[in-house]
Amino acid sequence: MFAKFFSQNLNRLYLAQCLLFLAALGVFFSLTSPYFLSLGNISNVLTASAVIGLIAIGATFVIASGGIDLSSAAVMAFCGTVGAWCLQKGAWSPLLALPFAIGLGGLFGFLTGFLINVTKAPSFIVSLGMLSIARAAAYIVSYGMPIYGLPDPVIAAGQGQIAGIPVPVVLLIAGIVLAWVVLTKTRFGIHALILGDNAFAAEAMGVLTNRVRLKIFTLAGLYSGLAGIIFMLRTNSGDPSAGQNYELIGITAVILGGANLFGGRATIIGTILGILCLGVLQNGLNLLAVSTYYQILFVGLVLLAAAFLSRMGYRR
Amino acid sequence: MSFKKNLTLILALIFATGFPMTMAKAADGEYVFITAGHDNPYWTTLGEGIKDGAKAKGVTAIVYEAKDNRDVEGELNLCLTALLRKPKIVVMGSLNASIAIQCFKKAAQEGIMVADIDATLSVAEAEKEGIKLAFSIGSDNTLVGEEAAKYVAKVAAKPDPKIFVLEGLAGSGPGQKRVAGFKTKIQPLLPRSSIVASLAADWDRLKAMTMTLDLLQRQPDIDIIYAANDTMALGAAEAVRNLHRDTQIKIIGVDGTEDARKAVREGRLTASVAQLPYLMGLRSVDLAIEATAAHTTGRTVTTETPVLTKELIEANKDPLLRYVR
Repeated sequence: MFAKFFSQNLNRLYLAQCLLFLAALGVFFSLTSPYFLSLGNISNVLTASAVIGLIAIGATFVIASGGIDLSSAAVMAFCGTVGAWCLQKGAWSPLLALPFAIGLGGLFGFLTGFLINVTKAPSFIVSLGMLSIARAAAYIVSYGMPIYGLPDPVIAAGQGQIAGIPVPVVLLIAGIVLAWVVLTKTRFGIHALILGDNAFAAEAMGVLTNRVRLKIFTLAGLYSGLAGIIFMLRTNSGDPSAGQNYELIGITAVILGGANLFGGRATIIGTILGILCLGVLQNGLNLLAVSTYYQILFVGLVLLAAAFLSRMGYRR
Repeated sequence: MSFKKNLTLILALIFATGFPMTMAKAADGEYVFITAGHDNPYWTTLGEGIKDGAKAKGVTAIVYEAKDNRDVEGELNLCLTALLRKPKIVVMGSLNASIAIQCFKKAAQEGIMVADIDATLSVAEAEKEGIKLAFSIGSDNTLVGEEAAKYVAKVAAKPDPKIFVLEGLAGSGPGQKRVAGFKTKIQPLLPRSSIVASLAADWDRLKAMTMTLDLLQRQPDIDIIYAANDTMALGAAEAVRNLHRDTQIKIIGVDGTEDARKAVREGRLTASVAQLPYLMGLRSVDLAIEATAAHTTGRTVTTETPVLTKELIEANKDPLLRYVR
């Protein structure tokens, strides 16, 4: 009966698998490490997931629409570096510097979307180009060196807590709620999914596909910008080489959460479960002091397992 | 495949891959070391020193490694996670001082001792942030540059040699110190020497090679090349060999890596100022044991930086050579 209930809906099946996987990881690590279920550790997992989580949420929209954004981590590094530059070298007010840096992320996303629309080139290629441009921009702004030492009040706020919850986690939760509302409750969200499912059909239905794509990439850029700010606050530095391969981890999380890499199917809840799976896996392995070499191996195995299970879903 | 089968499959997979690791359970009184970049031979060797040191002393040392030397956030996460194990001490080779400070402040709240390895965070810098380091161990990069200058002064064939300096990645702290130490020391030792160019080859072999080739076209009368690491020194050596100038130009690198030692033995490289990460690892274990036993803080230990030459390596008498890995 249980099985029948879940199999009625592919999305729910993936979510259930992901939830189950997460639960199994949780059970396993709480049995093997006495620290796993402590409040301090749960807070660690969530804080450590904030940056990647926001990148993955941005990637969820892009993947839902059948695209891929390889520039997200580079844009994140760029925004964090610009934010740090404005705060430290420019002595800007945080109220100006932080929105400015996040806005630049949006601008980068907008440009990516615009170039895809104009050139009709695959998003893979365009975003690959934007990856280099954003990374270069980050290096140019900072002369290649991390910008250390942000103003104390900014760091105190960024590394502090709101109602006992670390600020990065609060921002992640806000980002999740916003994304969930946008993807499931707005016309734009539904158009994004239709675009990913079948771009021709979407156009035939009167969906302004170019405009939807612009909005999607801009939104993803804004999420990268916010991720960059959190990275900056956590490490007290604007690091132009920050987040190497974070875009791939973000995409991994989206796929783990049951999204279809070719578009049309993606959920925010799935992505969050995907992020938590990766976060818990990494944290648990750290707690068990497993060597980094094996940690990388396990992440690969998990992704393969997810791919395998999702094929099962198709064959059904 | 049914849902139940999926469930069984997932559980089987997790438990099959996971159970062999349960041996790594936390024990009371362990020493945690965090190193930066497991893909870097310097840190790998340092990690070996720690492991061997712990084995020799019969203590439990857990060595965490950041993914690479740019994974700042990952290293911060590692440090925060390591605190949960409630170790006696956390010894961190941090990628930058600010993440060490952040994690160490939390450690202080929980009464866990902290220390620095590789001299990223000095005792004085930590003190400013209200952190009491048990110790800080590392080599002094300014001294490394000075050692290179002394060696150059000793082997220079004429009193007014023309010197080319290959710097590390622009803005890198250790890189700057190695170059600054060299330049300040060479002036009084060889007042008539001149540094004809000092360029950043970003620690990169190919870049160093290209730059050397270009420079030797423009300025063929270079006598000495000092590179802030061995990788660049080896790049310069390739360039010099391509131009058949290898008997005239002396090349000095820094680090004492395996590649460089081989090149020194074969005469492609004149010398390398060695860092001794293995010794640093070994000693850090002793320091950690002493500090936690007596609850002492504030020690600064500088590890030796011997100049490895062909004669020194072949004679094999220097006791420090044991620690060159």
